[in-house]
Amino acid sequence: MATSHPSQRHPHPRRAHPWMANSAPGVLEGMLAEIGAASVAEVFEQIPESHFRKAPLDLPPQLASEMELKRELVTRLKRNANCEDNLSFLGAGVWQHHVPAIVDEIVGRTEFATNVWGSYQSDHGRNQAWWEFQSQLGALLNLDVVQLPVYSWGCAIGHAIRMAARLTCRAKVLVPALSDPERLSVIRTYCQPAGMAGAIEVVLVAADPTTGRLDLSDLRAKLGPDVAAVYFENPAYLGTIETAAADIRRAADTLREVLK
Amino acid sequence: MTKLPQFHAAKWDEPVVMAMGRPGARGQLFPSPEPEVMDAAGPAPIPAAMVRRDRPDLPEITEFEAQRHYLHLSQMTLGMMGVSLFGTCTMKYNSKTSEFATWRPELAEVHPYQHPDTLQGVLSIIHEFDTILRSLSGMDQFVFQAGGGADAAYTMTAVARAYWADRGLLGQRTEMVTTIQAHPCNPATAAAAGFRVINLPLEENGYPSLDALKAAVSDRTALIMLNNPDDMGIYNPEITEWVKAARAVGALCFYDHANFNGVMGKLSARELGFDACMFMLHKTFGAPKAGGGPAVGAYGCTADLAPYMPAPIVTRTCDVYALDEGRPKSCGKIRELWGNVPQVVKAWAWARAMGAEGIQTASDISVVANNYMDHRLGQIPGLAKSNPGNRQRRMEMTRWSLGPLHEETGIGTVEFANRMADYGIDPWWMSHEPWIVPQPFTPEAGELWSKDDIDRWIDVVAQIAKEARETPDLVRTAPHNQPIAQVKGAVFDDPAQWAMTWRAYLRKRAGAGAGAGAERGAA
Ligand SMILES: Cc1ncc(COP(=O)(O)O)c(C=O)c1O
Repeated sequence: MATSHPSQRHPHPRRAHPWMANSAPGVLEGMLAEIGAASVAEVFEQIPESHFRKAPLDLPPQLASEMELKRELVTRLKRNANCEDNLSFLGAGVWQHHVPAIVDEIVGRTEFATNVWGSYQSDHGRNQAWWEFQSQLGALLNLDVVQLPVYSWGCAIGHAIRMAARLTCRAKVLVPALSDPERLSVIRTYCQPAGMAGAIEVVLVAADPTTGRLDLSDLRAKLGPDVAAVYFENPAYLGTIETAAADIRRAADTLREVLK
Repeated sequence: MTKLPQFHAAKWDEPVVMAMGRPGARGQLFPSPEPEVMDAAGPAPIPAAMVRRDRPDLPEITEFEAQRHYLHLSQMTLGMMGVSLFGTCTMKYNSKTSEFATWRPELAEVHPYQHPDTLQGVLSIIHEFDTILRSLSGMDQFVFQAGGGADAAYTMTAVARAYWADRGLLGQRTEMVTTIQAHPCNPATAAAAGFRVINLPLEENGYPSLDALKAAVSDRTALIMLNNPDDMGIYNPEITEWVKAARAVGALCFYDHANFNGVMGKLSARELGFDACMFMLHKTFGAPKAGGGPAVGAYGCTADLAPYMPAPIVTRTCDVYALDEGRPKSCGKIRELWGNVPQVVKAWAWARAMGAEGIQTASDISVVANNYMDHRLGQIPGLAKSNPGNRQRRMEMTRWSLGPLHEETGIGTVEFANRMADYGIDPWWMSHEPWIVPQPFTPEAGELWSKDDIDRWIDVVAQIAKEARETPDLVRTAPHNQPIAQVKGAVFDDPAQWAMTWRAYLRKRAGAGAGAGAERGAA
């Protein structure tokens, strides 16, 4: 195949790239010779000619040197105002924390912070760290079973609700009306739109306007044998403490009987 | 043959952190709140009904002991600091320049609800990265909310629901069509989203026939989800006909571009006819995922589908960046907020550092290197390439089989994986389910590793094949040079023998042995 093959429209690199060992002069050619291929184009022989892109790549200029890359990163990031220089009381699911310095050291260890997944044979330390994380959360929560985190708070609720629906064969969940709108939106995504075969109805439970807690009479009115789960938070979305957690639990427990 | 690596992992003979320390020891102290705060909060800020009575059973160790313990754990982690040719995950160099940049307060100490005018730096990065991915894919808009590749597939299913609901056809468009060679996250997320999954079986070329697809799609098809090339390294040359057939019945076409490394700059999802695609930033774009995340699945689609994407979208008007939350047709949130932004910044830095030229070179290198690897692996007796009928050169990875060697020696892919770790080589990726060839393994060289690294990896495979014939017990009982002995899979079938937390471990152990009553009472 000629060198005008569409896979070969780009110019050959002028210099080796620091992140690609085989971009050093001659290496690619050496491998091609060993496999008996006349050109790079030949290794792409599975792709029909007409499939190669026609629009040329239009990317911003390369910053191959670490100095240029760092300058660009820092210049851009400095255009952010940050909560170290400014006092911030923004919260709603993202709070400022003190992070111990050794945490930065440990999570930055390259053995941990790569894009490897980590086989148990070779990465025992990583697996032990994960297990210890689960164990410490188990101690904080007094729970025997803790898994590694899922994508987010809302995703964890979504998974829990779908599990509850499967365990109970019911398709309704009660959620506080006073919820973080972002989280509620994630919950609705997991519960599927009404009309789909697996849809779970999301019913909002009113809040007591003076305390921010769940309105227990509204909760009791909405709790029925079709309810798979009740979800509430502590502290609640507006920072109040839900003191009636035990009552909510007892109200939900009455429905467990129906399952047996 | 290169010199075989002499290796022994660190082994620190110390207990798990839960069993360390001494009562009253502290690793962190916290200042007490100011008197004004104390006064405002009152003597009992947590109401009595909710106050915790017991103390959590956490390790009480000093700051140094915590540091030392976790450094020991990092030392007992190979973490691709030997050679890892772990297929389907595209091992890359994860730049420390960009890692450290994301630790700066200008990124680590910002809040997503700050006014966008105070976040122009990070928004400019996200927006520019969006344009980079648009150019690479031909799509019109990207969003970074998804927490991984599977979550981006899930985003597609949510977008498809919103698209069909908007047309009043959600009740009719109930099916998703894919192939058994797609990543399992495609059928899984479609099912979780409420679609019925149709999984096409492979035929002799290594992919389903166009006729099978045509028979499967109809006016019930909401979308099709495909990856190409697949994990066997096979490119479906009929992909454009597939997309045409799906579009002919009105279905949406999603390109799982996880296997992008070999075709970066060569294929455009849009030009192939797809409506949407996803890229894994923790794979192809050089962001680390640290084992289990945080990760990002970048989801991109055409202007026709863009109204249905999750919000917010980063916009740019006259050089001012903003967040567009007001998208009435949006499918809703896939996750809260914007996504794992530090990972997006690292992926942007990767794309900028590589540039168009570097990205093209990287895909050249990864496909040439895989073919070089195929060439050398083919010379090791007992190894077989998947789909031997397909004699064309493979893409950036190849599915291999140890079938013949296994028949000859009884040593298979799991034993190999165990033994590789003894040479300081990360165990290989075997295969997603279903295993299409016996005793599979799937190497991927990518652009990071030198030819010497690749040669060393192949030499280790050849050495283990030799050991399988001459000293099979050595392989069967591996690993020998790692901090732990072989993990026996059978115990996972017996809940009495495993625990997910120290609490559960203590309870189960107490239940099994003497003194059970006492320990159970304590727990
Ligand atoms: C082809 C393909 N699609 C999707 C995924 C899922 O990505 P993630 O693990 O980030 O969810 C993978 C993972 O390797 C993959 O190989």
